[in-house]
Amino acid sequence: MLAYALRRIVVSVPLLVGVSLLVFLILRLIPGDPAQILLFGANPTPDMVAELRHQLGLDQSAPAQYWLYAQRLVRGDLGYSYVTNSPVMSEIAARLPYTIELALAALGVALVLGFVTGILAGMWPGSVIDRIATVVSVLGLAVPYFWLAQLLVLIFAVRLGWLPALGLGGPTAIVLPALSLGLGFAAIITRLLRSSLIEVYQQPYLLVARAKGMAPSRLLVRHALRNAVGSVVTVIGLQIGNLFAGAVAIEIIFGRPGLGQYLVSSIQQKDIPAIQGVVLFVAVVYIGVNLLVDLAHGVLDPRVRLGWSR
Amino acid sequence: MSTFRLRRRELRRPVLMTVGTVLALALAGGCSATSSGPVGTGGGGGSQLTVALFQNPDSLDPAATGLVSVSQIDAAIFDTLTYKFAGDDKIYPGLATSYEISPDGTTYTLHLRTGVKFQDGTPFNAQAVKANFDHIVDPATKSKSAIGALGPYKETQVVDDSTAKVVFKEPNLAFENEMSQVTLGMSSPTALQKYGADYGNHPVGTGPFTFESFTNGQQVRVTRNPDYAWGPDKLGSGPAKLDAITFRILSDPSAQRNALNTNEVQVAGNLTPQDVATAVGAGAKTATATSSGMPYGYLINVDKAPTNDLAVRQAIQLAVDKKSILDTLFEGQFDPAASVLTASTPGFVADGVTYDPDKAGQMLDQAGWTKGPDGMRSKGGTPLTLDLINITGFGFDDISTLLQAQLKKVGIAVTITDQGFPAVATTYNQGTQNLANWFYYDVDPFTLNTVFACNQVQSGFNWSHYCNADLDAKIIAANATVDRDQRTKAYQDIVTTLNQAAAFLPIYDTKTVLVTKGVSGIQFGPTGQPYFTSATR
Repeated sequence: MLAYALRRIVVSVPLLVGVSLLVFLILRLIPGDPAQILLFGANPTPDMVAELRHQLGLDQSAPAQYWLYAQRLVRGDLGYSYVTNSPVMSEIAARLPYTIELALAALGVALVLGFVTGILAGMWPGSVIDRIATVVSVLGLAVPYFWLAQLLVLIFAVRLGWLPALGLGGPTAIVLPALSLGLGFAAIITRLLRSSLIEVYQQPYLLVARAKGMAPSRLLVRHALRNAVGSVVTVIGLQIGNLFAGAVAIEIIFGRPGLGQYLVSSIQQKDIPAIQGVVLFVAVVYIGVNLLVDLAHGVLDPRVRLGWSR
Repeated sequence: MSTFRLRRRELRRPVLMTVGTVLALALAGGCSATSSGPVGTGGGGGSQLTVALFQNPDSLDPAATGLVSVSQIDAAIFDTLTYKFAGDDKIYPGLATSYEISPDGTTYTLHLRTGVKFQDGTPFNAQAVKANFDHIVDPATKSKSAIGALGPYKETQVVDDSTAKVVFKEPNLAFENEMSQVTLGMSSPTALQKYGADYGNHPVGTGPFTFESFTNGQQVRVTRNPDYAWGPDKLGSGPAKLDAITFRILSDPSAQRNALNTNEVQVAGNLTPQDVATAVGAGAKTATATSSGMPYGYLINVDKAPTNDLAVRQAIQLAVDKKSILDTLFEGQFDPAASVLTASTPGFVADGVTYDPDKAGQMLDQAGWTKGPDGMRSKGGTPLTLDLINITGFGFDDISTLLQAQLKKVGIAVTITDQGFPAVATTYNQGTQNLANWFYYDVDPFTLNTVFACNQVQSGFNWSHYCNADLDAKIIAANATVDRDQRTKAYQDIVTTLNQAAAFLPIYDTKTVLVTKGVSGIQFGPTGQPYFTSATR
């Protein structure tokens, strides 16, 4: 198990280097000179622009700039925001709790709803519950979360007045953002779990267990779910990226000061260190979560880790 | 996330401020503060206001900030040396009770109000004025807007406790108006010293509200300054009426609309025109003010064919039906512009152009641009086609589309391409375009120097590529004219010349439209930033 874990961690390193290189390159291919942006409106002379470019290191060759960037990264230094002049790391740290809170709440919504409906639908395929779950989950997948967010606000905040329209403040403020972001994810889990369960329930060992009179609850928890849940865990890992992407829209709609909102405002102001920092940070989280998922797989399913450590 | 930018983000998203000003989308100011709603939780005790703000502050230090939204907050925390109000060219005493300008226009002697204290207890005096202006020009401050508003600053001399002499390297009459800009608000020298580079998170002024907290990305909170007794009469004497204001950062117009609907905010300035109309229909009020500066419109490149032909430029102006554009897109909430300056800017003269497509056609015929069988014009085989380069997400997209349709009717073809800001500035400086998006906020017409001076063609804002050395000299001379009336006259001459050159196609005057619920008494500064001192809820 340890060798498996180590191997997975080592594989992540080139991934991270690749991500940092991509982020670095893409931002340099986008037109627009940050020095010009920073001086915009100050009637800069070409000398002033050149001076600022020098200060920012923009007059160096691209490889030299990347090397400087990579060196600082290794020290955990994401640079200073062009806009606020404060360390990008501290800006991210200030906003991260809001995004984590949103992501966890959405994940909670997704897991609870996804598992409940997925299990019900998977245990009784073709039943009324299954049909309702299928229709709702297709809708959940088809509806974009930013549209869903507006709809939920309109109904529960504006019309009914039950919940606040802004996603910060009282304890109920997280409900609408979490639902908006979590429902689509719940739909994915529902569909996946349903089909896995249906498949698992048709396996001979389950038929045998059932024929021997094992209690349905024990059958579900000990045997069926354990085998069906693997694919769901993988999807959760992959969906973390979607949660962050969705957080961008949801944080803006609900006025939450999270990472997504920070990313958007940084892009608008072409605050390169901030964009690099956030994108890289999200990539690290994504890779980290998927690493955990791989490890969890190893725990849940011995076949996975044996296959690796042999 | 790109969907968010592509969505027409309306016209009031100032992006980056400029020389004490803004190249930003509408947040303008002007005359009629007409917000009179029902009184909510009574004035005096316990009244709180939440105001939606569309940008996260970059710094709350007025000397450092480059964002127009920060001026709303800073106008609550800080006082300026003088005050000006929207649609009113009069200068009101602020922290300076009076001032004299030397005959050469380089030295301002300021007589300061006595007995004024900063919110941290530091007394306001001539030393504080010096500390503030020195702070603006200190490279460490990285001033984005204030440094432009201040102008060619040389030094401040402390004559005595209540007299300061501000000296400029050249005549700088624009400063007489610029003194009222929030970016030149007076900070506590003690706080500047104490917090250093972090002062932007701990602003201390003499204003009606004391800074309480700034939660990055979320909100800024200010509370009433009980000692405030030196505000301009126009904002009500004595302390502010409200107990506290929360500026809630909501960059999305629909978030602002939702929050207004649920009463989580009571003032929102960035709704779409359609949402404004709906909100007003549902009982909300608006408080509006037209802004000084340059209108929303298009700088016409006088250096590139076919707009190097004066007849073509004049025909473009005649062929555009501004009213129809404004009715279609903005529910008539904005007024058509009629000059290189907005109507509330000193020096404004109307260009006298009225919508007349027939006359436009005749002018083009006379200039040799004749219609072909397809209805489009050409001259000597060269088609009459204009390159319009739009700035993505700046609120011009729909205007440009309507413009294209209107010009087609008189036989002028328009090709529209989009480019992101601020990369577009380089393109505009190179002069690839015939039509460039434009608007500008400023309290003084000296702004014309920034936009039409010969030395601004290559790297500045002179995107019309208009260069007239004679006019340059006139603008410099106007800025050295101490007498206000004479100065205004000089600017009127300049504006007339510019209007005749047809180097700008004005569309509408920038304007702040605040939608309010149960709030009254909001007033506005000349560039449309609201003052909440006299506001009640």
